[in-house]
Amino acid sequence: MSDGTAELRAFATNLGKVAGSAVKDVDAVLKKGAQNIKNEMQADVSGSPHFKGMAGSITYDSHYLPGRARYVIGPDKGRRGGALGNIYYFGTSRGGGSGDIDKPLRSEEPRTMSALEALAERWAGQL
Amino acid sequence: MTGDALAAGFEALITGVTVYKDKVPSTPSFPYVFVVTNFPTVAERSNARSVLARVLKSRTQVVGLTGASVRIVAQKLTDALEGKRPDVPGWVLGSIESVANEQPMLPDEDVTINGQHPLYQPFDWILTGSQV
Repeated sequence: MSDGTAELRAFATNLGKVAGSAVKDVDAVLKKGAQNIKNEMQADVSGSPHFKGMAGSITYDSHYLPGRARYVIGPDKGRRGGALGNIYYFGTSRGGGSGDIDKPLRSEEPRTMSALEALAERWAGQL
Repeated sequence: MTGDALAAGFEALITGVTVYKDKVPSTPSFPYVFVVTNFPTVAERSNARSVLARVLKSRTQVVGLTGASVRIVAQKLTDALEGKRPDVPGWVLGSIESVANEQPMLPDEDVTINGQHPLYQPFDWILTGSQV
């Protein structure tokens, strides 16, 4: 007859294993999402006759904090054409701003959410 | 009850500042607000695919010769729009909300007025509503 202590210990051990790899697992999903967003931003700007030269400036950077993964995606002003990014997306004092900065995120959101849900289901199966 | 009436109703709320709609004249009066408002696109559909709600998106560029003038006009613009609910016949509307774009105030280096570049900052707005 069990008093549940062994099961509780096993659960705690499994939880520790899942927690130990959680940030790495989430990071892999987010990195893939960041890559997809970057690719779509590059494809969008490549279709612009005036701004296609800045496509190569669109990159992503990872920003890690304890227990957190974060990606920043967009034109890098240090790269060729990157300084045009704010004009492409936000225009000037006389208007413009034909680029839709939210579109690639809208495209990617369902894919990333689906991948995160699959990850959560996998974790649940390991407990 | 058209999308154009909705856009006009939205833009009519911006008062007390110089407003240019759709195009900035060759010699504008500073400071000013330049506004471009889209046709309201579908935001929500029923299970039967009929349109339940539309969202109006508008971008305003606040332009001035000094940072202070941009900030003062931006405050007037915010007071005129944020949380307001325009009254447009044929529409049931929510409140206007600003959308953060994290874009800083920048000099427009393609324009020179008396040897200086005007400063500008974009502000994005959304308004969700349904046609009745």
